[in-house]
Amino acid sequence: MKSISAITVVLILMLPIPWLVQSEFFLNFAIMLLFSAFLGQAWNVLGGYGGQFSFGHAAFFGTGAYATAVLQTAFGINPWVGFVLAGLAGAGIGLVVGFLSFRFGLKGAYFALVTLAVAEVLRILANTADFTGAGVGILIPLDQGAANLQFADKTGFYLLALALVALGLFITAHLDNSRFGARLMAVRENEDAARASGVNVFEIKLRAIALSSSLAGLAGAFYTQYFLYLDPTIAYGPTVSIEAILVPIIGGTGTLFGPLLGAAALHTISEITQHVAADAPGLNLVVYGVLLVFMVSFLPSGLWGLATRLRRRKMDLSN
Amino acid sequence: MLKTHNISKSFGGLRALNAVTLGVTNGEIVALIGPNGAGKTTLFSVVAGFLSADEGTVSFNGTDISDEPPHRICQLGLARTFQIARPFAGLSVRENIAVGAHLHIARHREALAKATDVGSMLGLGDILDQGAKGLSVASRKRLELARAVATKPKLLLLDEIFAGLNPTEIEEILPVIREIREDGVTIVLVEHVMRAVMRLSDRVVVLNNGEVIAEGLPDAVVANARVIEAYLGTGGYTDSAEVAGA
Amino acid sequence: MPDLELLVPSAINGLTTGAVYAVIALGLTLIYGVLHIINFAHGSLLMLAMYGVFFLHSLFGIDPYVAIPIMVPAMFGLGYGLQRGVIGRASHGKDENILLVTLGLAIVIDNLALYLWRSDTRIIDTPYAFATFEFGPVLVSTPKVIAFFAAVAIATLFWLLMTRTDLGKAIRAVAKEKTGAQLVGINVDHVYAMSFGLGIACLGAAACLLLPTFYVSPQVGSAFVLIAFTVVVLGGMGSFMGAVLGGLIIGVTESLGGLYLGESLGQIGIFVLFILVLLFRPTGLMGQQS
Repeated sequence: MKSISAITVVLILMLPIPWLVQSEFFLNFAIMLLFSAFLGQAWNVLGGYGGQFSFGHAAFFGTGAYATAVLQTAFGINPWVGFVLAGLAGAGIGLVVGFLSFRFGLKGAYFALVTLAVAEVLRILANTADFTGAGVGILIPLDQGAANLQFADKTGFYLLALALVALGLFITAHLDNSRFGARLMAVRENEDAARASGVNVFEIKLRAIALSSSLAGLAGAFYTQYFLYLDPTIAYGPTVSIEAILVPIIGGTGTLFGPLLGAAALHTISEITQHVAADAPGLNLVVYGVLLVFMVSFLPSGLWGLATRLRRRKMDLSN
Repeated sequence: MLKTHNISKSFGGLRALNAVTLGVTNGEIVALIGPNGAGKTTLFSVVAGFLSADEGTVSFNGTDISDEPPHRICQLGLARTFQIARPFAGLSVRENIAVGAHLHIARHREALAKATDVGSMLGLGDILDQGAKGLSVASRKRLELARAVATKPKLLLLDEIFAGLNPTEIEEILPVIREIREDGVTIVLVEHVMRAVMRLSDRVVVLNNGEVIAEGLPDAVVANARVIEAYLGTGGYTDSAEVAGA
Repeated sequence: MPDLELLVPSAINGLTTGAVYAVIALGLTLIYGVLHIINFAHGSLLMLAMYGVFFLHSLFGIDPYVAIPIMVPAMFGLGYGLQRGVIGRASHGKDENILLVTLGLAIVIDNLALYLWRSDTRIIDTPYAFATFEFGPVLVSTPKVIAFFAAVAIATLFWLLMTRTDLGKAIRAVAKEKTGAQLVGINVDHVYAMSFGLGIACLGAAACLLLPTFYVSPQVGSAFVLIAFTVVVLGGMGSFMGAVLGGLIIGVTESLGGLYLGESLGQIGIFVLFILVLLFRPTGLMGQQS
């Protein structure tokens, strides 16, 4: 299948990067890029393919992040196990939010608002509860070693991030080539027409949010392991939710490589901004906001859509 | 095959359907006609599960489907098209039809192949890879039909499939519908285009103000005084017989 | 368990806060009712207005209440310009796009504020800041009482505008039936921009009423936006009466919630209420079916 070969090529190209690139700075850049791409891929399942825009994806991300953090520090659970459990934790919240929202027919802006509210509620709870360390947060004790999911050499984290992005790519390719994906896209386009074609809209949406939120939970676990520190604002604050939306929108919602493209563009722009404006607080996000308005106004199908249109125009011209 | 019994449905103070009882037998083409606002599309929506009736039951092949959701009813073999076509705009024509095909086919590639077959049979062969957005009215209607047919229905409800088509396009779709019936599908059409009604249907049912006012062979129904009165009013005449005579 | 002596002042306090919430919500519900836009930037624009009032006071010594005739037209102009220049152009009419555009605006405004003014909270000092007003056996803070009556006055003015003026009629016409309004010669783009402007003008007024007793910081925007939405959803999207009722109910809920559950958990009460209303009664207490 075309997608599988394309994915394989991309993965093979990206695999040797840690050995080709000597700069620690660039490796960190690459890791954060892949992390964003994976977060965007998670959002893309529900938002891009399913058409349900979540404005509070941090709710699932943060739950996964805290899950693995708490399990490690309070119960001594191995971080690799914690990683998997983080995915389940994210899915758990996703299913609750999804069940309630979709059961009551919430769509569009109302659904977006609910996700926003849920993320805020979780942030406040995490800020108050003892087991999440309240406002102080959780610090994972340094204990480097692959068995502990704390790679001394950043290469380990790069490979993990790449593996996650690969997972995201394969899942997205599956959406492009499966009954589930076809039905999900039908739901996105027109729910009543989907029903009339035999699609159980509620069930499809629920499966989509479970998948999307579990991936976001895994992204949260990755964050916990990479930075070894977590607090309510990091976990449930607006930055993650905004990034989760922006990455696919820039790259192209509902496409296979959109999130990857979007993450690359976003992080490049972000680096440039930081160079120009030093560490000015908020400026980074100002750029994000401007990008969002810009993309929606001028490039609603994202960079991937632009590339496709240019390629088509080139083909038409050569005919 | 399909039986509705005493279906009533009101919207606020407006009684859209009043104790509608009718039956459709296997293999026939039945036309449901009546003036605007007679309740035809409402009846379709109730039968297909998009609306729930206030009173009455619907049964399909012996199963009570009155409270079933639309996707369940489609799974049981009853498919419908919408009066204003609802394509999946972001998908291609083939992918649109494939969604219907997926009802019985699990593998995506197979569903796409089936979609190609159904699409070709319905005259969409040339535009299968085009996006469903921006299609002409006639193509949109064919797509609506193709998607419904791809679900392998036993009964097909067509809501004004001929509306908005010019005479040539109507002539082109008529044999397609007959072919669908030949494949063993029972068809109920809501129609205003009388030419299609007369040429296609075995039986006609007339709805007015939410009630069945006439039923029978096409020729008999169009001559029926009450039917004429429903469409044209009495024009000053005081009884139906005079209307018929005039 | 806090007893009646704390309950009544708390409730009255909530009513005064709620009145200001109502003014904020009036703007939001107008924007939704006419343009069918969920304005995610509403809280951010309020925050901007609050900074406006703050700087008018700290730089020019202008009292917040005196600033009302300055802030209201200024915010109206800003709103008009945003709708005409950015939102109307960017969204190409598609609903999902509008969501994202207003979200983008909110992000830009919130973080521009963060960049320009850092995250310190600022407060203003007015001579009447700690004055109190006797309301029977209860002492209520004077600025809050002023806020309450001012909010009621503004809501009334608003209602008069909507029902008695030509502009109001045009706005209601466009809200009900855009195409029909166009056919009778109403300039819909202009009405859209006017409506958005009016909605944001409300924020100018609300900011003036809030500053005497409230602080301003860049985060204030996101704090208010969810409250504003909760009010509007509770009261019913598009219903002015609902916005007023909703505002008062939320104000009291927040106050009592803070009393019983403490500051931060009290906030949760609002969000939970919001989610519950969305799930079980999305048309709100008085709303129209959307």
